[in-house]
Amino acid sequence: MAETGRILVIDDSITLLSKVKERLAKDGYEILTTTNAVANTALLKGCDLVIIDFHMPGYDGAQVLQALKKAAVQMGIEPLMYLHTTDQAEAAGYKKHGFDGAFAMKGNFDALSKQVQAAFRMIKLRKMQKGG
Amino acid sequence: MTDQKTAAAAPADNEQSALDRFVLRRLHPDFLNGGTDLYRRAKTSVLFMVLGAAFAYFFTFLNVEFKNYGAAAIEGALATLAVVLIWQFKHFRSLVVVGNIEAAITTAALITAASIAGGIDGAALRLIPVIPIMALLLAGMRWAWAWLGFNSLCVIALYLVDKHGTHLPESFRATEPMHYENVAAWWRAWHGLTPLPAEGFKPEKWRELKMSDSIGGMAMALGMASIFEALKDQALRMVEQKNQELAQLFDNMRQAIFAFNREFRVVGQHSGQAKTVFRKPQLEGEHVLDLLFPNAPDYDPEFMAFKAWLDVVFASAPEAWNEMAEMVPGERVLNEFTDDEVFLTVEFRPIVQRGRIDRVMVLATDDTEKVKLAREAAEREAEFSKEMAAMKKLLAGGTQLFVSFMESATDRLSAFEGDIGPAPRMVNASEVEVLFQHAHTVKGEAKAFELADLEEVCHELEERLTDLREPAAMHGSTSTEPVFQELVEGIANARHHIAAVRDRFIEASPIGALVLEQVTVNRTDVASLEGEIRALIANEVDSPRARRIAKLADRLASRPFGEAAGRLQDGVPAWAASLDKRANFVVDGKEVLVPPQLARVLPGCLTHMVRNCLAHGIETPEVRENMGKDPVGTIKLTCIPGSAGPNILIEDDGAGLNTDRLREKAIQMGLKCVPGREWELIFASGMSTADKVDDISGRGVGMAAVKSDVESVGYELDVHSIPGKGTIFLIRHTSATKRTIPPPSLSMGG
Repeated sequence: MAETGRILVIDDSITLLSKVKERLAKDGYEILTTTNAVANTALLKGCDLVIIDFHMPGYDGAQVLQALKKAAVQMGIEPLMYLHTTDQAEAAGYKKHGFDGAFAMKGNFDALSKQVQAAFRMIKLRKMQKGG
Repeated sequence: MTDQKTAAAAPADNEQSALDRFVLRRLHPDFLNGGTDLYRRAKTSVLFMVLGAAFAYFFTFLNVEFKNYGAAAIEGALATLAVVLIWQFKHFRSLVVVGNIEAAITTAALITAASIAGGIDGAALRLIPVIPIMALLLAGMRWAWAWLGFNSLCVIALYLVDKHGTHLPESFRATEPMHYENVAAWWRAWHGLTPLPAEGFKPEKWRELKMSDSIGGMAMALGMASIFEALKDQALRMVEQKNQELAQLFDNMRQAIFAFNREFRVVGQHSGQAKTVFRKPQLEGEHVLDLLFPNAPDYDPEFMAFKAWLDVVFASAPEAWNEMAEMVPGERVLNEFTDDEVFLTVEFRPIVQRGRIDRVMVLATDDTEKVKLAREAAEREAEFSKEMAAMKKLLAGGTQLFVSFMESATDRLSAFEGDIGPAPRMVNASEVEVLFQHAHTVKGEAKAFELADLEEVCHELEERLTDLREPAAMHGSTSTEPVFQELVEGIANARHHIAAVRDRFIEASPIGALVLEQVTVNRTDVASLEGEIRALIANEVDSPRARRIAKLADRLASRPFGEAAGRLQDGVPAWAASLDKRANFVVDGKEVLVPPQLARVLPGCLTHMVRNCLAHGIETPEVRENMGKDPVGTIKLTCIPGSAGPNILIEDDGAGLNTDRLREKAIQMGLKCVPGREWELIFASGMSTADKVDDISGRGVGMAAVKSDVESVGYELDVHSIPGKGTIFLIRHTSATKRTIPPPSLSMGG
C-alpha cells in the first residue's frame, strides 16, 4: 500500500538525495530535497518529516536544525526532525542535538524505508493524542 | 384382706400415676392432652429418619469414588435419629426455647453423617441446608422459620467476611481439631470391604472431606459462604483445566502467541513456539519491548514508535482498534543484520474486558525460512540474469570463442582426471605442476568469461594442489592420497558447472543447440559454392553423389529458424505496450534450418505477421479478463522440419479475424468471397479492418506483400481463424500436399 506524507531530505550529497528520493517516492511519499536547508527553509511548508544530515560542509548541523525549528514555529507546523547518519554513537546522542529521533543506517535504503514508516506512525500517534 | 390389699395398692398406682403426670406436666404440659401430640411427634421422627436416610443415600450416590449405599443409609438413619432425639429432648425441656443453636447442632450432625458417608463434594454441599429446613417446615415447626432467619443472617455475615478478604473457612480449618488420618482410619474400619481408590486419596478430595467434616465446613454449610467457596473451587478447577487445554492447543500452533498486560508484561498462557522464537525458557513477566525489540537502541525509530504506541494502546477504545492496529509494524526482524536474524510477521489483537482493552495478544509467525528462501531465490535470479547477460554478450561478440573455451575446458578436466588416476598414487613435482596448470588455465578462462562458480571450483583445485607442491618439491614425489578425494570431487563439480553453463548458453542463443555446431564462413563463398554445384548438376554431372553435395551446400547456406525469430524477442513486448496490450512471445524449433531463399524473406514476413497478430488479434488485458482469458496474450512461432522444407506456424490466442468486417470490406472493394473462408480476404491487396492507420497496422498492404514474398521463394501462406480463440498462419513449401501438412488448427488455449 502506498504511503502518504511529505518529507524534506537535507544532505550535501546530490547522489544520496537522488537515491533517497527515488526510494521514498517509490514508497508513495512526496519528497523534497535540498543541499541548503538554511536558505530554503520555505521548503518546510507542509512537511511531516525532515531528514537531516548533521555533517554538511560549510554548515553547523545544530544551526541548521535550529533554523528549521524556528521556521517551523513561524509556519505553525511541527514536523518530526530526524538525524540521518551512519554513526551509531552520534545517533544515540540525537536528543542532545535536539532531534526527535535518528535514522542510523544511512545508505541502507530498505532500512530507511522501514524507519520512515515508523516515523510516520509516530506522527499519527502524536496527532491522535492531540486530537484526544 | 384382699380388698384391703387392693384398696392399699390402688392409692400407690394412683400416686405413681400422679408422679408421672406431675413429671410429665412439668416437662410437657401437652402430654395431658391424651398423648396425641406425642404420637404425632413420633410420626414426624419416623419421617425425619426416612428423610435423613434418603438424603444420605443421595449424597453417597452423588459421590463416584466412595460408593457404599448400605453404609450411607445406616449412617443417614443414625444421624437422623440423633437429630430426632435432640429435637424431642428440646421439646420435652421447653417449647418456648427457639432452637437456633440447637438447630445448628442438628444440622451439623446431619452434615457430618452425610458427608462422611458420601465424601461429599462442594457442589452437593449447597443442598445440605435445604433438606432439614424443608423437613422442619413440613413438620410445621415454628422455630424452623426462626432458623431460616438465622441462616440468612449467617449467609450475610459470612458473605461479608468472605468478600472482605478474611477467609473464615481457612481460619476454621487452621484450628480444626480433627485429624484426617483418624478420619481415614475410621472410614476404613466402618466401610470394611469398601476398597479405596486405586490411585489413593487425592489431596483435593481430602480437602473436601475436611471441609465437610469440620465444624468450619458445617458453619459454611449453614451459610452461603460454603457455596461461594465451592463455586470458587469449581471455577478455579475449570480455569486450570481450560488453561491446560489452551496450553496444549498453543503448543501445537506454529505461531508464537502471548498476551501482555497494562504493565506491558507477558501474562497467562503463551505458545510453545513463542519460547522458541524469542529464545526464552519462559515468557511470563517478560516486557514486550524486550521480546520484540531485543537490543534495540533507544533511538531506533521502530522501537520509539512501538513504545509510543504502547503508551496509548490501553487508553484507546476497543472499537477504535483497527486504527491502532495500523500503527504497529506488521513485520519485525529480531537480531537484524546478524547471522541469527529472525523474520516475524506480527499481528496484534485486543483482549477486551468490561468494555476496555485489558490485554493485547501478539501473534507472531516465524517467516525466517520463507524470507531466506525468497532472498536466496532473488540472489540466484540476479546471478542467473547476470550470467545470461554475459552469455548474450558472448553471443553478440562471437560464439565460437566461447564454444571453444567449453571444449578446451572439458578436455583439460579430462586430462586432469587422467593424470590423477583412478586411485591415490605417488606424483613427482612436475606432475603436480601439470595438474596445477590444468586447473589454473580453466580458472583463468572462467574468469575471462565471468563464470564465477567455475572459477571458484578451479581455485579450490589449485589450493589442494598447492598442498602437494611443497612435499613433492622437497622429497621428489608425494602421495595424492591426502587430497585425492577433494580433487575428484572438484573435477566433478567443475564438469557440472561447465554443463550448466553450456545449457544456459544454448538457452540464451536464438538458434538453440545449433550454436555449438556453428562456424564462421564467408556467406559469399557459400553462395558461390551453391551456385557452382547447381550449375554442375544442371549442365555437366547429375549423379546421386552430386545431388548429395548440392544438398550439403544447400544446408551450408541455410540459416537456423531462431535467427529470424530471435530478433522479434525484444520487439514484441514493446509493440504490445504501445498498443496498451500485453503479450508473451514463444519460439519453438529454433534449431530447424531454413533454406537460404526462404531465410532471406522470412524475417520481414515474420515481423509483419507478428505485428498483425498484436494489432488485430491480441485483445487488451481488460477485454481478455472479461472473456476469462489470461490478461497476457501469447504469440507463438513454431518451425517444424519437413521433407520439402520447413513448416512455419504463427499463432496467436487473440480475438480471431473479424469475418463480418472482412466480408463487408470485400463487398466494398468488389472482391469475391468464399463462404466459410472469409479470412483469406486478408491477403487481398488494400484489405484492412483497422479503423486508423498507425505504425503497426492499417494500410492494408502488409499481408498481401507477405503472401507475395513467401510465394516468390516457392512457399505458400495459409490462414485459419476461430472467433474468440485466435488466428494461425502457416508457411509451407508449395510441394507439400495438404495430406502431409493438415490445414492449420489452433493449438493454444484461449
